[in-house]
Amino acid sequence: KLRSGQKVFKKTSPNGRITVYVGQRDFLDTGDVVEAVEGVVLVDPVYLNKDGDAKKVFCQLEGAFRYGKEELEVIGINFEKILFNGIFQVYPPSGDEVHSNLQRRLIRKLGENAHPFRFTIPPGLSPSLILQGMPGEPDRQCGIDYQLKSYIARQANEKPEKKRMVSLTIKKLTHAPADSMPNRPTLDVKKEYMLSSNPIHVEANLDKAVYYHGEEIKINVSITNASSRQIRRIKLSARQFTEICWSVSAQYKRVVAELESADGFPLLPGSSCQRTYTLTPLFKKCKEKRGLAVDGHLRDEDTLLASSTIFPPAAAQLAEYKEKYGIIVRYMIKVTLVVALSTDLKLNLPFLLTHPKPPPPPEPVTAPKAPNEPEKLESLPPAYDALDPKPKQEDLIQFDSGPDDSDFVFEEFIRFRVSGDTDA
Amino acid sequence: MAGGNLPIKFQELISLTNLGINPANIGFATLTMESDRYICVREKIGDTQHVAIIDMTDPQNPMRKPIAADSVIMNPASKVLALRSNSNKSIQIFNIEMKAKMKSHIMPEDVLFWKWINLNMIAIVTETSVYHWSVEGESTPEKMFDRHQNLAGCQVINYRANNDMKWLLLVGISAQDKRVAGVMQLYSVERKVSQALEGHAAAFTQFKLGENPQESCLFMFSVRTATGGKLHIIEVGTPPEGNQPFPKKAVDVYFNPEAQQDFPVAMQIARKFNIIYMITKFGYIHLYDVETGTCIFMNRISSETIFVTAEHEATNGIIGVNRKGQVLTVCVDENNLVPYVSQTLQNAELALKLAIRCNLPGAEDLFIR
Repeated sequence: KLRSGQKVFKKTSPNGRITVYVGQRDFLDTGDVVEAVEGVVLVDPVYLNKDGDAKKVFCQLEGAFRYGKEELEVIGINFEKILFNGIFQVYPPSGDEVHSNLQRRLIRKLGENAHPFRFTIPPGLSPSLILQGMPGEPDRQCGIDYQLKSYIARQANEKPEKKRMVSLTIKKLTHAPADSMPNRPTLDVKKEYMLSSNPIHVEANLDKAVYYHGEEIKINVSITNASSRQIRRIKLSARQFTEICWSVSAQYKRVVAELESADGFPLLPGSSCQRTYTLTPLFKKCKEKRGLAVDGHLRDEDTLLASSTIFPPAAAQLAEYKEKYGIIVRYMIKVTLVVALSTDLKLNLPFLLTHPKPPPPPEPVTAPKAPNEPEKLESLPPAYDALDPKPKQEDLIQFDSGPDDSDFVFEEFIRFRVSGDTDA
Repeated sequence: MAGGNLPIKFQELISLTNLGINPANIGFATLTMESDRYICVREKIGDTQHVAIIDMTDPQNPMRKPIAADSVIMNPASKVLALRSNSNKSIQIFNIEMKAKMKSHIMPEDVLFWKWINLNMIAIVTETSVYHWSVEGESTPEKMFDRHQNLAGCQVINYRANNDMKWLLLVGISAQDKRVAGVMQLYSVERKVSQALEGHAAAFTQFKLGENPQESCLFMFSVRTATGGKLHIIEVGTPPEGNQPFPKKAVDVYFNPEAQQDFPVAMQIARKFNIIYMITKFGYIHLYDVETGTCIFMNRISSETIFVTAEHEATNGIIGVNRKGQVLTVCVDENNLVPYVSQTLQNAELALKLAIRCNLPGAEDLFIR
């Protein structure tokens, strides 16, 4: 199929009178700036203005921390903290909106009834996060979500009927800048045992500090066993630590990848070894999902583990950030040496899990030269190949993205569900 | 068209205006359809020229690209696009999937008409000559023949070649005394000889006659002169070894008396049935049997001019686009053809021939007669 072009997601209200178009479902917060949540709303002006009863169309973006389902609202149980709330009147338009390239192209494709909207979320707010089915209360969901709504109403703060409203759950995701954790995690531990004059010396490090979702983590472990004990085997795990700081104070610890190895063990007294192990934290590998922090719904095919909460390098007090973010997510690699007749030797190496930097916006490409401009000799490129006597001709067709007005592929906004998931 | 016992099936595949194509760009100068796979339309959006490429397997999502060309033709089978710019006589071929330029050339004179004549070759027509340009290798356009003086000043509307490219045909039209005259130049590559003919629409086909061991190369053309309409079917070249020659046919072509200005504009052959589809300017379709020239069927399928046609491979039919942007197909109705010829045309001999030749149902009762 020849189909190519930019994907645009759309969703229509149940009454069919408004459709929201957005270029992405996920928006990255790089610490300096958040990708703009923008698009157009296609309205039906005849319906909006009929019977002399002018209705307006608004767009609202609301980010909130929620604890508990609305239906279970009983005194003291339900909690909602609004992180961001923006309302934008889409129709009738004010006329002085600045249109982005995407909005201009969508308006050209969809016609004059498509009206633009844009929200700029300030950086540093909590990212989209859901804590899966908390223990003891499987129906409760705790998390942070961002809802983009568009609705028909006479005034902005009128609560719209469900059939006159479109609601889209977007994901605000974090990108950790390079200086978030500038140093490679390294730990050097010596442990002395009773009735043994010499210690076990373990040095462990990770190949880097910041990992993107799905990347392998390489853990280098170097052990020198100068003690009189045998080291039976090694266990490694990647763990997610989640702490809720609003409404309820709770902490969760979940293993997101693990391995155990007896290869090269037992490590006898007086010997040493150096090995590299690999772990890849993946949402799909987490057996126990209750209390696990993820960025989307359990059954959505594109749900990932929650990214690490980013604390700017000059962190003052942890408490300050807990108050700001509401839910803190951290990751650690735990290395455990199982020592015969002794307690385990444990090391913890923190690391950051995050999203890669968003690609820079494409450079606008100018359209090919109009054919009736004469070719001037001086416009020939300076490196004129004498073996190729033909003067270089401008390409008659452009493939790169440019003022390419109608090259869109429209897709429904809904994220696909993975079937067969039995977890609550 | 209702079913009943018509020998053809007729269908509107898509409406180009529903895909967002501007009606002003639906015409011979801006829309090309080299095969039933793709339709290319040149459109100006804002101040930029674009080409909209409609993939007939997925017509709802035309691909649009900015261009600086005056003519765009897509390869009959693959996503290879040829573009030409009249101002600098530049012709370029791109592989759309690879987003890469395959070949380019500067012609010595203005190109007036061009067309893909098979999967690898483009025919290029200038004021004085006809060239063939192969997509393969580093080859440049190769001159095939000089244009016949009878076609001087004509608007070139078509070019055809037979299957082994030994017989080539150039078709042009010109306005003469309130009617549109058609002039054709038939060229033999082996003999290096041209012949000028009066004709409006033509085609080549290979046809196995009777007990002949090999196929005959047939040339058929239709014309409406001042005196009336004719269809000619003749064998070109020396009959192959062991073959009986094909007896040439000339039959009348009927035009509606109310359509004095009507004339043939397109001809395609359904090789599976050896049937000629002929379309006229005013939107009539005629079906003729290749072997005998017998007219099987005539009817009007479009009130608007059908200005471009191609073979419709899936149905062994003909596909065409009219000025309203309707993409139409006509094909033989395999179940009804033989009964129609036998009962409605009362031509048992032809019905039987068609049944046997094309393995079609409906002739069971003919054996009794």
